[in-house]
Amino acid sequence: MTNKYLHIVFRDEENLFEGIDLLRANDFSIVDVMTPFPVHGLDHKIGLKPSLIPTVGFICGAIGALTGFFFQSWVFTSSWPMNFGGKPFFAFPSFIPVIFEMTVLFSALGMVLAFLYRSKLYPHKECSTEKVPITTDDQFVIKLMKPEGEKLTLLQKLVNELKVKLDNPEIAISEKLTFFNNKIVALVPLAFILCFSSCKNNKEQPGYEYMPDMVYSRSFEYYSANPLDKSKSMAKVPPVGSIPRSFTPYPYPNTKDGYEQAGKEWINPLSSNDIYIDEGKKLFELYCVYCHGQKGEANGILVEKQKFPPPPSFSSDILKELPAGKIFHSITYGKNLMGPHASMLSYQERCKVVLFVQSLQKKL
Amino acid sequence: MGAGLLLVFLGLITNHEKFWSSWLLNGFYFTLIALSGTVFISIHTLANSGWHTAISKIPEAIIKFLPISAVIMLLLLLGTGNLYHWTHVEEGDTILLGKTSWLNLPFFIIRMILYFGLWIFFSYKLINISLKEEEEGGLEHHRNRIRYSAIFIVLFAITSSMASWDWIMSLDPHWYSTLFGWYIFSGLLVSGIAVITVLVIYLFKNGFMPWINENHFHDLGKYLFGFSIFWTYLWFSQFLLIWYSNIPEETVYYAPRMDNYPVLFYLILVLNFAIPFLVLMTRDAKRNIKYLVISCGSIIIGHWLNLYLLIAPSVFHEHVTIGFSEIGMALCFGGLFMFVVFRSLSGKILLPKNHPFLEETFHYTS
Repeated sequence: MTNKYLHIVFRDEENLFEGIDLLRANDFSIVDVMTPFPVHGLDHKIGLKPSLIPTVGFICGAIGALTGFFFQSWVFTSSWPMNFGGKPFFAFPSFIPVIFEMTVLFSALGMVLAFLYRSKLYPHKECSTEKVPITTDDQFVIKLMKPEGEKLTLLQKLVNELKVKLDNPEIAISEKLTFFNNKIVALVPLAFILCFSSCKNNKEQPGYEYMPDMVYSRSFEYYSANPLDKSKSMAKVPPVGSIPRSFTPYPYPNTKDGYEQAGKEWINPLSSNDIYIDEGKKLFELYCVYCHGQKGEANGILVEKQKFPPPPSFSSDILKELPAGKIFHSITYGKNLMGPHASMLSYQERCKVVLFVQSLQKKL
Repeated sequence: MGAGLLLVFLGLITNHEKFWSSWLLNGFYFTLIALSGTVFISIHTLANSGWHTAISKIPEAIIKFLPISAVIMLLLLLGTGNLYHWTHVEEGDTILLGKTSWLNLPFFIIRMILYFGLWIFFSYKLINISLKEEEEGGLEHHRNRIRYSAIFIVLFAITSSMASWDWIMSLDPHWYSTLFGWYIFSGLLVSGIAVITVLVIYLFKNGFMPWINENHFHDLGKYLFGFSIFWTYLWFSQFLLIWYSNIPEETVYYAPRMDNYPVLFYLILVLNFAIPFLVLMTRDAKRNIKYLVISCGSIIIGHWLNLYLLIAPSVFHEHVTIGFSEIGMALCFGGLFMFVVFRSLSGKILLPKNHPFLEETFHYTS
């Protein structure tokens, strides 16, 4: 450590303020003040300009808000328009939470980066200012340029006067500051020994549990061994032929034979009428039109934007005469690039969509 | 105030529903503001705050309006038939019939008396404690204040949300929102603090409070800024869920508000969120009286309009403009409010003399 600087050590912040006032009044140049905790009004006292960090935060936050807004607008109206629960593509209220998060994220990251840039810091860089560990403990340090000649004697005189005035003999000028308390340093290896002594090699013994609370359930675990019948797990296979409530079984498997068989045998339980066709149309507009288009002409928005290859048109030769069973089968299990829709549409709903698709076939 | 009174009577003769809805609007608005004084004191007491002692006489003065607003709200009972649909349930309305154990007139009256009884009891207890403290000194009074504040805060959390269900949410008895109590509470806090800030600024400008400095204004500004965002957060939380789920029995609340009052609906967001948010964003603005007055005015008007938008569309089924009845009554009650507050402030030193944290407020930096 060079002797460029001098340190004056204080024991509390009230004395520190007096000291700063005195030094500034006598035209000493204070380099820095180091304190164990943020002291209100200190930056004002040593004549620092207000920080620019809030401005950076505002600008970054505004950029974040605009990014969030325009990105979502672009995605949901232009790039990949999707229907969510019948909402318009440009659903502004649902953008707000994301805009908010983007604002916070950009603002926080911007401020951190601006701070690092301003203090010329990056990970693993040594701190350029001197480390004065006692200021992380209980002492307040003013760091100032070491004055020369007469001014040095003046400084010593001032500090001595301050000692008497504040009745505080602990105020001291120091060129080099003691770092660690040796007694505490001696405790460090002891702490390490204690930590390592708790490690064990025996993996069978998991150690002690501190407040296990509700770790162990009284009920049986789903896949644990059955205490009544050791060979089986707690989970039981349902009886053969049982189905979930309000589930309509569909007997044809997801194979080519199943597809052909469904085309021959499957009969729509709903008879065609305007109400069902209308409901089918609504479902079609929610789930199918993005690829198939309003009239099944394979001109949906995703096809036109070339996000998906076009499916065969309903007026094409293959699909024009497609029987109800094959349509139902395709909706249930999917076909080619089209995914299965059984998890999104119930049996009844699929039947309604089939009716609507058939009405399109007839119209064309 | 006199002109307001005249307009009020004019209103009573011409249109009953309009009269009672504006009675509810203004009565409830000034109840909220009066109550915010008690909340202000008890929150700061419990947080061991010192800075607020410089202005704590002002919330105490605001509280003095609470008994008057109790009378105003009790007079509202004469008009329940015109306002509350649940007072005459039709046959076959199973939802309302299911709610009759809560929404019936005797229980409604009992609850109203109970709320005001509790609020007035605790409010006056806190005022009396501070008067006694001024005379006698000692720490015992402050300990008492902490005790009563703690009990009040808990009771207030329950009663304020129940009162907002009873008086405002039950205007639309088929609809409900679990957020409603907090939504009203956030409005109470922010409009109350706006009124306190305006009063502090007025008294400071006229030299009655020379000990106030910009650090105190900074804190009031932070409150205004923070709680106006909090109010918007709750407003939006309620709106977004209803808008997104789009279930008819919930959207029935927002549909008339957005369709019949398109300007007002967005205006309240501008007044209660955009203006305070943009005006008070920087640190210097929060310490500047001019900016504080702008945002306080915006919030005070904005929350009055917000309350109008909560009440009017539920009472009338078509669009109704804000008329003489509402504004007249606001002037009338506002005048009464000012009269009560300034009468209790006049001729006193506006400092709690023996408050244990009083010294702290003079050395306060923020």
